Amino acid sequence: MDFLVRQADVETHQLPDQSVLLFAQSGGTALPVNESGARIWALCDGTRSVDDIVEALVSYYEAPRSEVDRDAREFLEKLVSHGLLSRRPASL
Amino acid sequence: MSPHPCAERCTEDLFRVYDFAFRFRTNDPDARHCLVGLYGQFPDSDPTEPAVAAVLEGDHAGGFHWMLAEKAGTASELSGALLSLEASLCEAIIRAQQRSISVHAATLRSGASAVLIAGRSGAGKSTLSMAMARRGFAVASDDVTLVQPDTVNVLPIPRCFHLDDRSVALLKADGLQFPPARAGSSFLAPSDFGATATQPCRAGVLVFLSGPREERPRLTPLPQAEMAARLLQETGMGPLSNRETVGVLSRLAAGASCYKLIPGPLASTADALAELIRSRDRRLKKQDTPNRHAETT
Repeated sequence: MDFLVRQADVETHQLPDQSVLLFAQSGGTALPVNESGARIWALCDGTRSVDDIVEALVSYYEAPRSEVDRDAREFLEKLVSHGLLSRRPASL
Repeated sequence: MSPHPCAERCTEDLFRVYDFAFRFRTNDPDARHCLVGLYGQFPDSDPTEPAVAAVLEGDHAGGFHWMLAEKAGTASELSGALLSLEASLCEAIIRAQQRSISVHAATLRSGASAVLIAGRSGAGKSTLSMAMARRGFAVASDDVTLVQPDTVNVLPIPRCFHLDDRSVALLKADGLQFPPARAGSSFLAPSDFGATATQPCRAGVLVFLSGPREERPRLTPLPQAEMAARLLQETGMGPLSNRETVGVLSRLAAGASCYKLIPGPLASTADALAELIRSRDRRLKKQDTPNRHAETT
């Protein structure tokens, strides 16, 4: 089970409309995310596995588990592919 | 550049645009009209300060030569020479900035705040800006706007509208009356449409113009974070680090209402944008009135 860790150089700009701009200083990636995305990002604190994150979201949103699970995993994959998160195996 | 034989008809004006001062010499009244219209509203420069030489001259063969410091070129028409000189001036003004960042955006004024229309080259910023001028908005810039990092105030860099035949046809169909003195000209200064505004101010509305054109315009709210990210893509190299630039653009977006505009026909697109800005101004005025009343009682 992988844990997701934020890259150390990613800055979080919280905007008044609750959207968030994530900016990776090293790669120059600027990724805007909505309120839901910002919630997922906040959960990626290095102590939670992907399953833990999905579980936290399922208890928050009134949506079918399968839907939350799919959307969260897609979004987390996007963050990884943009170099904003990295995977850390649970054994480490 | 050799002295022009009609040197006695040459005029010379000293301009200072933010941190860049230049002395402009020309023998062409249209060129002078254009630059005075663009830069004459900025505070007077100190005549003793160093200023870069800028020249635009017509020759006897009908050609036009321009020069700015070490840059120079020729064109067969005045509009071509003016376009090149203006582009070089704009670049020099941006380079002279110690702190401000440049964003690819037009600037309109509405009340005490600015409306920025950002978008890629060719998105239609200039044509839409002129259509907004016809609707009573002061157009301060149609291409590049500076943002001060400390205050997040916006500073327009005025440029002439250089219109192709298609733009002219669209604007005439929209009812734009070209100033009689400029009829037949392929370029117009914002001042040709009345008052312009170059004073620094906050941006109240940010619009990202994004094609392709549709049957009807679509003006939809854009998350502020997405606007900041889009503006970052339209920001040129500047004196700030990427990190600082992102911070400035986030604060710029944080203080504004942000929209995405997919254009439709010019008239309905400009009408939709004008109505959005006016309704916002009315709302702010309404909010402000009770506050003022409370202050005075």
